[in-house]
Formats: sequence, C-alpha cells, structure tokens
Amino acid sequence: MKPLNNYPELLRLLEKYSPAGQNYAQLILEIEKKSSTSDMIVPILGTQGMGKSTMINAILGEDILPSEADETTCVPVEIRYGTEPQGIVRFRDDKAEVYVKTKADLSAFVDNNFNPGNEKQVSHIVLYRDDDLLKTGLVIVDLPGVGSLTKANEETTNRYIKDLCVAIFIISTSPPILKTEANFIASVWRSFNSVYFVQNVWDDNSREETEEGLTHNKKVLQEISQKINAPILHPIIPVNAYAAAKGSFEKDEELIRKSNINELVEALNSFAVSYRAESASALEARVMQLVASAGEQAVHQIQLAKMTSDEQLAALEDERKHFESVSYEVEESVGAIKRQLQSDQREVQSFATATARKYSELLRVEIFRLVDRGVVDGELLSNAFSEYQSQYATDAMDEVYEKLATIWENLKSKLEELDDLLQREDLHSPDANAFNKAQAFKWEKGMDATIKIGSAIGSALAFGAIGGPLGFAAALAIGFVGSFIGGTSRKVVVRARARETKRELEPFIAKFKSSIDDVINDSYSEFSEKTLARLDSYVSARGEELTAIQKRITDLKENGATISREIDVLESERDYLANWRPDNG
Amino acid sequence: MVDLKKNIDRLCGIAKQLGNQDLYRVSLFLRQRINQPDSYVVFLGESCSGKSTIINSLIGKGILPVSSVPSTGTITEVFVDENTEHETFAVINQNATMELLDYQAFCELALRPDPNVQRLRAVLPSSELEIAGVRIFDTPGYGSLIEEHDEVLVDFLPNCDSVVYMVGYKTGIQEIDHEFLRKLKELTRPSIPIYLAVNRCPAGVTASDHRVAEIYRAVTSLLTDQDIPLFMIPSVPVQQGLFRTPALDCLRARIGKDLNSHERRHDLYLAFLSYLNDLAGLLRTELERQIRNLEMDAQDADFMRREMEELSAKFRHAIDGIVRPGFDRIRANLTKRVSLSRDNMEREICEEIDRQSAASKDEMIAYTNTHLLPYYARKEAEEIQYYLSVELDAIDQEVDNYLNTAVIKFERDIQLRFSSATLKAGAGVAKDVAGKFLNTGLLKYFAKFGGRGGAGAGMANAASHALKQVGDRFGHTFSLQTHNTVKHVMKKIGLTSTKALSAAVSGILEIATIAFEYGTWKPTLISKVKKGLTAWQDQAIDLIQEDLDKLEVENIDNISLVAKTYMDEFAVDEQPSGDIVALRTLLVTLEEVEKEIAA
Repeated sequence: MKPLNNYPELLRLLEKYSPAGQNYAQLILEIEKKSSTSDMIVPILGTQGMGKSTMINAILGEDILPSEADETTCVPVEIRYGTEPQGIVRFRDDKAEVYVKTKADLSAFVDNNFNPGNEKQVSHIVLYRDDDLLKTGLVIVDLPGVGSLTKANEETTNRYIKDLCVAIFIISTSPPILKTEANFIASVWRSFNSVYFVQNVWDDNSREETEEGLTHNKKVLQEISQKINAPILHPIIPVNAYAAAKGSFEKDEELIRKSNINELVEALNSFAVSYRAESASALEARVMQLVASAGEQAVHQIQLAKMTSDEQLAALEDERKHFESVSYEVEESVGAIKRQLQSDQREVQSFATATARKYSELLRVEIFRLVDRGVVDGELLSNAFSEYQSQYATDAMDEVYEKLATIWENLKSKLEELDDLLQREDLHSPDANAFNKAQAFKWEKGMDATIKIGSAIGSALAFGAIGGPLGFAAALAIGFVGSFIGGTSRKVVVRARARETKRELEPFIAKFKSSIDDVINDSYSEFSEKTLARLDSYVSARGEELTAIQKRITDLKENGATISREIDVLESERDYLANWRPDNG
Repeated sequence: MVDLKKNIDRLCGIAKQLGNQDLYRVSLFLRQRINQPDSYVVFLGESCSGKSTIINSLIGKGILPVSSVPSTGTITEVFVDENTEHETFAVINQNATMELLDYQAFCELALRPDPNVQRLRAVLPSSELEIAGVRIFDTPGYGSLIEEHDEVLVDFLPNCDSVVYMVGYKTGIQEIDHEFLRKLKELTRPSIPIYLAVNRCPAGVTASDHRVAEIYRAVTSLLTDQDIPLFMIPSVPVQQGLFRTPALDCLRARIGKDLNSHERRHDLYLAFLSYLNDLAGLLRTELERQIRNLEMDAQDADFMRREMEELSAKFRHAIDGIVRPGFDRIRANLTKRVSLSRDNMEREICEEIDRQSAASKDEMIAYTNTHLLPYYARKEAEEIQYYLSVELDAIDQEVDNYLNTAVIKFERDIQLRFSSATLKAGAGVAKDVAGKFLNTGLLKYFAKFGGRGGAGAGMANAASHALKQVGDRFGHTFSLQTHNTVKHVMKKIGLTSTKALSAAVSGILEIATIAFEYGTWKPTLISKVKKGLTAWQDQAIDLIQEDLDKLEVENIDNISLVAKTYMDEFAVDEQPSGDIVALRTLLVTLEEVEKEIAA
C-alpha cells in the first residue's frame, strides 16, 4: 500500500463518514505515522554474569562494550544505526552531552566500579554504528541488571520498556535456568510480544553438557510459557558469544561459524523484516476496517435520506433509545468493574501489609540471630543483611505474582463480559458499531502496531497491552529494593554490644518493610489507574455520543431534515468506499 | 444439614446388595469414621522441653514415662476409649502389625527407640482432656525426630488438627528450632491452630519478659501470618509424672474450644459430605456397569475385551516407556546437579573467608556457621528442588498427554461401535474415569489409611485429608495427583537438605572449640568447610535418590491404580448374572440418596 497521502479522495470520504466527534482520516494517519517511524527496541536481558555485553559485541561483530563490566553495567546503552560511528553520553539533568570514543571512555560511565551507583547521573548512552542489522531499524539496548536501577536511569529504562517489541534473554548452560531467573523471565515475558532465548555456551562446556542444558532449559521455558499463556516459544538459540566476539576480532570465519552467532543475527534480521511487514499489513487491515465502517455509515445515511422527516425522527429516536439502554448496561458493568477494582485495592493493601510484615520479620529474625551469635562487625553483617534482603524480596515477589495474577484473571473475566455486551451492540446498530470502532482505534494508538485490532474494550485485553498488573518494571523495582539498603547499612559502625547493633538495624528493616509495601501498592495502583482511565474515557465518550444523537433529534425537530438529500452523491460515494482497494504498485 | 449417618447407612446397604467386596469395605470404613471422627493434637519441641510431662498433666494421669534426661524415643499416641476399663498399651510396628504390651514393656519401648517400632499407643478409660475423639501425639525431640522418624512426621503432620509447640524458657529458640519451624508451616495444613507453650518459666514472669518476648517473636515470625496463643507454664514440682497449674487449665480449655469450634465442626461435616458424594459416585458406576453387562451381547463383549486389552497395554507403556526411563535420566543427572551446587557453595563461602582479615577469627567462625552455610545450603537446596520439579513435571506432562490420547481413542471406539443408548452412555463417561479416581478423595484416603487392616488407619483423620484435596477436586487430568506427590516430595527434599546440613555444621562447630594459631585458622576453617560440604553433598544425593525412588514407585502405583479403575469400570463379566429389575430398583434408591446429599 502506498502512503495514505496518495489517496486524497479516500481520506476525504473517511472524514466525511466518521461518526460525530471523530475523524477517521486523522486517526489512520496517526497510526500510519507510528507504524512506520517507531524504533524497534531490542533489549538484551539476563541475570548478571550471563555475558550480556559479550553477546552484544558478538552480534555486532565489534568490540564495543567493555565486557568485563558485564557484572556491573549501571546505565542503559543503546546502539542504533548511524553512518558515522560515534558515542554520546546523556545525563539526567541539563548537563551537556559528552562524546565518547574508546572503550575506556565508555567504561568510565557504564562500569559500576568507575561510576558507583551511577553517581555521574547518566540517563543513557547512545552509540551509533554502521551495521546492516541496525539498518533495519533495530535498536539494541543493554539495560542495567536487575538491582542496578537508580533514579537517574529509572525513567529511561521505563521508557524503553514501553517501546519494546522483542527481547533477547540470555540464559546459561550449566547450571541451567535457576529458579530466581525463572521468576524474572516470567515477569519479562508478560511484557513482550516476543522473546528470543539465547543460551550462552562457554568454551569449557562439552557438547553433551550443552545438549543437556538445552533440553532442560526447554522444559523450563515450556513450563513458564504455559503458566503465563505466552503466545509463542521460539526454539532456544545456542551461541558461544565469547568465540563469536573473538572470531570477529581475529577475523577467523571458521570460529564465527562454529559460534552459531549467525543464527541469532538471522533471527533478528528476519524479525525486523517481518515486523515491518506485519506492521504494514496491520495498517492495511486497519484502513480496510475504517473504510468498511465509513461505507456502512454511507449506507445508513442513504437509508435516512430516503425517509420522510417523520420516519427519520422515528429512526433516530429508536437509535437513541437503544444506545441509551446499552449505555445504561455499560455503566452498570463499568460500575461493577470499578467496585471490583476498589475491593481488589483494599485486598492488595492488606496483602501488601501482611507480606511486608512477614518478610521484614523473617529478615529481622535471621539478622538478629547472627548478631546473637557474636557477628556484630559492620561488613559481615551488612553482607548477610543484603543477602537475606534479596532472598526475601524474591520470595515476596513470588507471592505477589501469584496474588496479582488471580486478581487479574478475575477482573479480566469482568472486562470480557463488558466486551461481549459491546460486540452484541455492534451487531445490532450501525451507529454504535462505528462509535465503538473509533473508540477501539483511539485506545490502540499507544500500542504495538502488530497487535490484532480488538473491540472497544477487547483491545485493552490484548496480550502485552496491559498484560496483567505486574510487569517487567516491578520486577526491576523489587530488585532495587533488594540491594540498595545493603549498601547503606555498611555504615553501621562496629558495636561490641549486640543490643546496640540490633537497635541500629531497625531502621533498615523498617525501610525494607516499607519498600515491599510500596512496590506492591504502586504496581497495583498504576494498573488500576490505567484501567480506570480507559473505562472512564469510554463511558464519557458514550455520554458525548448520546448528546450528539440527542442534538440531531432536536435539530431534526426544529429545522426539519438536515441530512443531505443528494442521494446520487451518497450512492456514488458508498460505491467508491465499497470498491476501494489499496494498490500495491 | 444433610443427615450423614442416615445416608451412609443407606449407601452401605446398596454396597452390600451390589456384592462388590471392595466397595462394601470402603462403605463400612467411611461409616465408622462418620460415627467416630478424630482430632489430632501433636506436641512438638526440642528434647527435654517437657512434652511428656505436659501431656501427662493435661490428661491428669502420669502415664508417659518422664525423666530429666532425653526420654521420649518414639512417637506415642494417647487416646480415650470409653469402652475399655483399664489402661491398655500397644506397639505398632513398621510392618503395620500391632501387639499389646504391659506397662513396663511400654515404658521401656518409650525410652529406648527400636527401628521396628512405628509408634506406641496408650488407651485410657477416661481423661481430663474431655474432647470426643481426641488423639494426642507425643514426639521425640525433633533432633532425633528428623533423623529417625521423618517418614512418620511427613505422613502425619499434614493430618494434625492442632500443634502445641513447646520451648523451654531457659533454652529458648535455637538453630535447630529455626530450621524446624521453617518446615513446620509447609508440612501442616494452613489455618490449624498452633500454640506456643513456654515451659519452666521462673515465678512471676509475664509475656513482656525479655526472653519470652524474644521466643514469641521468633516463633511468630517464622510461622508468619498467624495469631499464635502464648502459654507460659511455670516451673512447678512434678509429682507422679505430672503437675497442676492454672496455665495448663487455660491450655486445655483453649485446645478444647478450638477443636469443638463451629468452623472445625463445619469443616468436618463438609469433608464427610464430599466423601459421601464420592461413594455415591462409585456405587453408581458399579451399578451401571452391572446393568450394562446384562444388556451386552457376546460380540459386543468380545469387542469390549479387545479394547480393554489395548488400553491396558498403553497404561503399561506409560509406566515402562515413560516413567521408568524418565526417572532413570533424572537419577543419572542428579549427582552432577548436586555437585554443581556444592562447588558453587564452596566458591562463595571460601572466597568470603579469604576476604576477611586474620583478626576476625571468632566472628568469622560464627558467621560461617550461622549465616554462610545455612544460607547457601538453603538457596542451593531450593535450586535443586526447582531443577527436579521441572524434570518431574515434564515426565508428568508426557504421561498426561499420552494417556489422555489413549483414553480419548478408547472412548471414540466405543462410541462408534455401540448403538444402544445405555452402552453409549457408558462410553461417554470414559474420559471422566481417571478424573473420577484422582479426584475421589475417598478412594485415596481409603487406599492410604483404610486398606492396611486398620493399624495404619489411626494415622490419618478424615477431615484434614479431605480438606487437602478440596483444591483439586474439579481437575480432570492425570497430572494433579502426580503433581501433588511431586510437591510432597519437594518438601521432603527441603527437609533432606536441612538434615544433610547438620553434617556440614558439626564440622565447623568442632573447630570453634579449639584454639588456633593466629595465622592458620583460615586454611583450617576452609578445609572444615570443604569437608562439611562433601558430607552435605553425599548425604543430599543419597537422600534425594531415596526420595526419587519412592516417588517413582508412587507414580507407578498411581498409574496402575488409574488403570485398574478403568479395568474395573468397564470389566465384562464372563457370565453376567443378576436381576436387572433389582438393579434398577437399587438405582432408584441411589438416586434418592444422591438427591439428598447434593442439596
């Protein structure tokens, strides 16, 4: 399909046959713009020590990222297409950008050893590279590991998460995927349309070990994908990242071939191509849907035009009555959903309190036990503190996922009921159908372009659109809780007396408790607010639509028929819309 | 409220007339349980925390032997039977046989554990703890409990209705209590009352006492989310194995109140009601089968036999072609997985020791013992559990898919063959058979506790067993049962690792008591850690292997039982006999019962 600007007549008719208060032409132009210009953000994820940076170097066939910093990457680095290779460091505040050239320059910002806790306040780093893969529009992003989020890079990280379309998750061969990783994978997977799993194979892994690792990892991923209802599970791609990086550095083609990096690059390439193609065909499908809807409007107007004023009035009255009665049902249903959200909120609050209490108590018991056995030294104690802390944060998150998943399932079924109601309405009334379609489009604007178009409410249910109350961001945030306190509690001075030490530990335990509480409540609130906003905007749009119908009735009563009587024009436009097809030449 | 007793009597009558011995036995078993429901109160605590004395004092009879050295060597069950005139004593052996004992032999066995003994039993004509059907369990201190009795523990803790957790005021909460309390919550049913009894409190001590508060806090936080009533038992002189104090009266009253509570009675009622439903379903299946048999002609019967033969072969394949090789694979990989964990622990712990300055010897030994070893052992145990559960679930899934396909084919074949409505209806239930078996709490309950001639029966009580099943009553796949078994075994592997951990810890404790040269404690500590970890590794592998073997057997038993259920359900009698009119009359009676209990 050519760009939409090539079809001025179509755009004119789409605008003309839009429902009151809507402009189909403008809507579709916005969608077109989004689907052609958006970046395809590809984050590389994995727990620490999996060789993320090495993998990126391997993909690009260039020694760009300091791979020794893999354990300690503390700022997001995005690598995008540019004819001139260059690197720019952007800061959180208005501080001027800094240009970086060498790997050592880069280390000064990305490596936690040189930029502890991101004290340099870097928001992110952009590297431009002239690479065929990046030319497709893919932007590869090295995100800070779980637990390395800081205020300065939190916003950027969240921004990436919103725009992500596919993720690459690095998993290891031996030991295979651990339980702690499995939980992280589940939370990431919920937020994406598509995830590629890449198993990093090290030189010391035997062929047998690699096979065993693959078999077991496959079982783990199958289990997770079933649990979260993930749409697709791509086969795991085994890659020896180190060999690939070394091979491209030494120009050793055989080593590169054996590393299997090409399979990953191919997968990314074909993803990029099919993503663009899917976006294009999704756009085309949307255009055709709007054209059909406009066509129905034209038919409807022709019917009205052929009626007498009295008949028109009766038809409008009929429509109003029906729309109003469905609106009443919609409000009932929305009311029920809101009540559900409120009672869920209360439930989540008390759940958060209980969970926070439980895990902070456990933390206290463990750490006090240690103090009682004579460990009062600041460093040992703070090591243990941060270890227990991250353990209990993870345990807490497991419970939170389970809890919120139940809540989400429950709510989802209510939303589906509402959706059914609207689908039935669509079948009954062409005007309501047009209205609902426009609403569905409106909501979709912020979403991944390849998600299939839904109904007015249904699109809110699409996988990845909301994806349940607890996504990727929360998983990162809880890791955050798990680690930052430990760093501070180092300051607890050595005290000979255990009781004194215990007293000094209390504020840190309290902080842990409130962090858990906050993370749970915040992630639910965010989800709940999003859902509420959608429902409210839909209900108020229905109100406006009703007013518009009412106004047409009043106009008709006061001024007689205002609908165009040019049946010839209407009919030819109807035919134009009915026969319109995009030309692909 | 449905009249349980009336309806179980009617079902017993139907079972008897049907002439199916198995079903009749199940019916009688259930009738006995409905008429005499049990409540289990289990006393737990470290050695010498005074459990036996407290039990004696609660029942008002110094029946359990007590002394100042660790005295209880085995699990002892105490209950009241109004029909006996004297106290009677018995031993129940591992092989489920029971022998009567005189009091002296009872005391000897109670003090000196015997590997053949599963538990002891004391039956009294009356007790001060007046609760119908209450059974009290005295346990050895769990140090030895975990060593010698973990099987029994894992079997019966899920059945208990309340736990009295005993801690000595002076001893407080120790390392071993931590590990045990952590597991206790997993092993018991959620929401059962747990009471904390702090024993031998000095005169005048209140709940705000520093020590009591510390014990209370540790217990409540490890047992999380639960309100735990605290009882402070003062130190009073013991006479004839028991003592009296108002604090005990409070405990006695509280246990009675909770066991007689409305909620508990309601739970029990619901459990029995669901068993009644199960039993009615089983009887209906058998009735319909007998009617079907009378309606079938010789060709139909032949066809059915061939189909059953085929299905039976598939069940055998599930066992020999999927389960057995699957477990062999897991066993083959286990050693590698555990040693991976061990290497990981060794690296982390030894690096940590190396990092410390030479001056921090004492602190570091405590740190290694109290933090590093238990922390990493727990973490790695969790990872091993996860690894195994993924592998086990995969087998489970495979069996599930394979057998479901087989059953669907079986069902379709029968549907195509038979034209008569009754026969078709019979086939229509085919796919439900497995679900029916697996979700019939009653059969499982009976298979586990009723089938062993009664001796095993005392170990389970009906209500809690059914309650555990409630969650999966409506599933329809094979996997639920295996899945539950997997979970059960996983919990045990958690215990296993706890047990293996003690091997590692004892190595370290040893060096804490010896004075070392300033410069050499590090290599000594490291070599002890390595030795301890090797012991941990060896023990963990052995224990997990054992668990896997048992799990394999249990899995095979389950599949065989499901297979048997199919074979019974569709069995074609060689010469069907019976009065079809009488059977149809029975069906009418059964429908009446069904209607009544469904209300």
